Amino acid sequence: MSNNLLEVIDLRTSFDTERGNVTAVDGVSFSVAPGEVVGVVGESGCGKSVTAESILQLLDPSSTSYSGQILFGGDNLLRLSEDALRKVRGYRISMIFQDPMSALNPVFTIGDQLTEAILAHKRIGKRRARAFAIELLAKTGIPEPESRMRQYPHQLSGGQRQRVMIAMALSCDPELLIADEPTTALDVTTQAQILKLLIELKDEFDAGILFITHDLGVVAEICDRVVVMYLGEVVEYTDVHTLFDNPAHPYTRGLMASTPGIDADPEDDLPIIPGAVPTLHHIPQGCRFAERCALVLPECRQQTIELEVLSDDHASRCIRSAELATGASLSNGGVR
Amino acid sequence: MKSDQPVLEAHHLSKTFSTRSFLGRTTSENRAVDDVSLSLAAGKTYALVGESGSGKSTTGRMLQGLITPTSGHVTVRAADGSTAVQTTARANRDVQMIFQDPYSSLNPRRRIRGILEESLRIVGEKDPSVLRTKVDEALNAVGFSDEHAQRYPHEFSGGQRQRIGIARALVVNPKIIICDEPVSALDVSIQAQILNLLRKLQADLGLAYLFITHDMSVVRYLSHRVGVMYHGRIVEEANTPDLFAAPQHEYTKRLLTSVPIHHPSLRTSAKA
Ligand SMILES: Nc1ncnc2c1ncn2[C@@H]1O[C@H](COP(=O)(O)OP(=O)(O)O)[C@@H](O)[C@H]1O
Ligand SMILES: Nc1ncnc2c1ncn2[C@@H]1O[C@H](COP(=O)(O)OP(=O)(O)O)[C@@H](O)[C@H]1O
Ligand code: SF4
Ligand SMILES: [Mg+2]
Ligand SMILES: [Mg+2]
Repeated sequence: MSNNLLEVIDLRTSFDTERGNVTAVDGVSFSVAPGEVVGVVGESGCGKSVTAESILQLLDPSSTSYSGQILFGGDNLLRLSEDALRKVRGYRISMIFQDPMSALNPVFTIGDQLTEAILAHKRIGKRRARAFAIELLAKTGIPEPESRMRQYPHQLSGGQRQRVMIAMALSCDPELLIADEPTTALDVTTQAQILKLLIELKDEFDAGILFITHDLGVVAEICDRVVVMYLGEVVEYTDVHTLFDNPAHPYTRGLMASTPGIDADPEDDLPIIPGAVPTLHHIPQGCRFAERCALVLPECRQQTIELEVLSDDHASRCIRSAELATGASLSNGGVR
Repeated sequence: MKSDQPVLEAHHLSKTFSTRSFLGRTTSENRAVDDVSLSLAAGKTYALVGESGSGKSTTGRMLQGLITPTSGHVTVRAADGSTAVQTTARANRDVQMIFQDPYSSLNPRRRIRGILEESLRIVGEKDPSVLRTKVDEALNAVGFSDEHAQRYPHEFSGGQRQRIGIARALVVNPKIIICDEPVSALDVSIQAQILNLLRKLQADLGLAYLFITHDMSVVRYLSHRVGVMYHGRIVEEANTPDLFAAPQHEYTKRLLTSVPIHHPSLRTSAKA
């Protein structure tokens, strides 16, 4: 496993809240190899963003505690000093978000912000930094990059702002890019362009990508491997083809079935996952998914359910995984 | 009432917004909606698709009588077959709206029952026993109990709030519901719950929907007819299967090829 770019081992992230301590990420492990796109999927509230933000420890230090290991370039990021961590953030690991506005400064031009980001970690003069900024913008497919340099963030469309964010994230030539729902707020046509761009740039920069999304269509488009999260835990991980051909966890199956596919019959109801993700104050005993699972057995609620390894790169946190992974239909695959 | 007659028709609707520049020295005109005509039929769904800013919400608001068109008019057919012509903003209880973010439109200090009663009072209902029965019916229709009625909006999840938004629209017995991206902010699992509910209500009550969305898989699943908006105009309109089988306009084609694939084996070599 030493050729991994990032290795997250048994990560736990807890918050102190007015109503007590809650654990948003509870024993999560996964890895990203160089050049690989690893997807993290799950409904909102499952702990995807907290996982991503834990890697760079971007959460409020006064109320957040971490345990486990985040191995990157020979270091455990959770053990690094704040100074050393700053040399990782925005230098070797970059992050892009759903809302680029939150990461761009409204009172500075695109050119100033991008040039400053480049100057922060490249020993080059201002002139060359500007030229490099224009080159990066052009790479992201923004029309007329030179005139964009003089514009302010609010003068750009959502898709163009996301391109600027990507240019900014790539300006340091990162080894790892963490993308937290970067296309969720965009039109489908723009989303398709941004996904294509990320793939092209990943190949050019040879970076690994941790791609967070709640959209399985996006997973099908760009991920190589996938981690499915439910209520702070990994419930299934595998390569993208196995995930779509042979999903083993009832939650994964439910997510797939409730997406109206091209074969969805307008005469039929869509399969649903009943209920909703509970809050962290109401984590169920035993299997966390039991109250929403169509295949629940009494024993599911009576024991802690461990991740069960099904094959080389496939594991599922379900006592019925073995039955499900063999493709047994089990009354509509566990979907209501 | 003849079922093939439209329950709502939009005739050549246009809306121009004037925006004043900083310091108000100059104004610029933005033709948000440009000569849009469409018609809605009982028990059917008309999907309005297009990129953000193309004028979908503005069209929906004109149909609901929330804003006055710059030109054009809307006709709504009443139960007795007579038609009411609308040229200015005017609330019509036959046309209700549900939104992407129901939370922002729910009064946080009122219980759910109070919120629904308010909708009925707005249309002139006062009798307490009628209020009670109608609210119970609407809550029941979206799968809520009396216990839910006593709670406040913040106590509900995103999908549940959307149910409240639907109940609030239903409580006045509308014939038409304008659904402005009602599932865009929801997870697919919850989205499926809401789509099933909307379809069931349509089948039970014969509702006509204008369904604004940018999700083509939802369009295919739910709608009978589709209008594609681009820069304020409807550039293409067709029955749903025809639109997917043979898109005509360049933008429609681009829209359809942008829809994420549903299996990784469908990646094109350029994408892989
Ligand atoms: N700072 C915080 N304090 C307390 N709870 C938090 C905090 N940040 C996130 N959470 C909770 O952690 C859980 C996971 O959140 P998040 O990672 O944002 O989910 P996702 O990105 O999968 O939608 C949620 O229940 C959320 O309410
Ligand atoms: N109240 C308003 N005042 C000024 N401009 C508006 C207003 N509402 C919408 N617009 C403009 O009208 C255009 C269409 O907007 P909208 O109908 O919201 O599009 P969509 O719903 O398709 O995203 C946009 O350019 C938008 O900025
Ligand atoms: S362990 Fe039981 S309840 Fe949990 S996912 Fe598997 S079958 Fe469902
Ligand atoms: Mg998130
Ligand atoms: Mg809109």
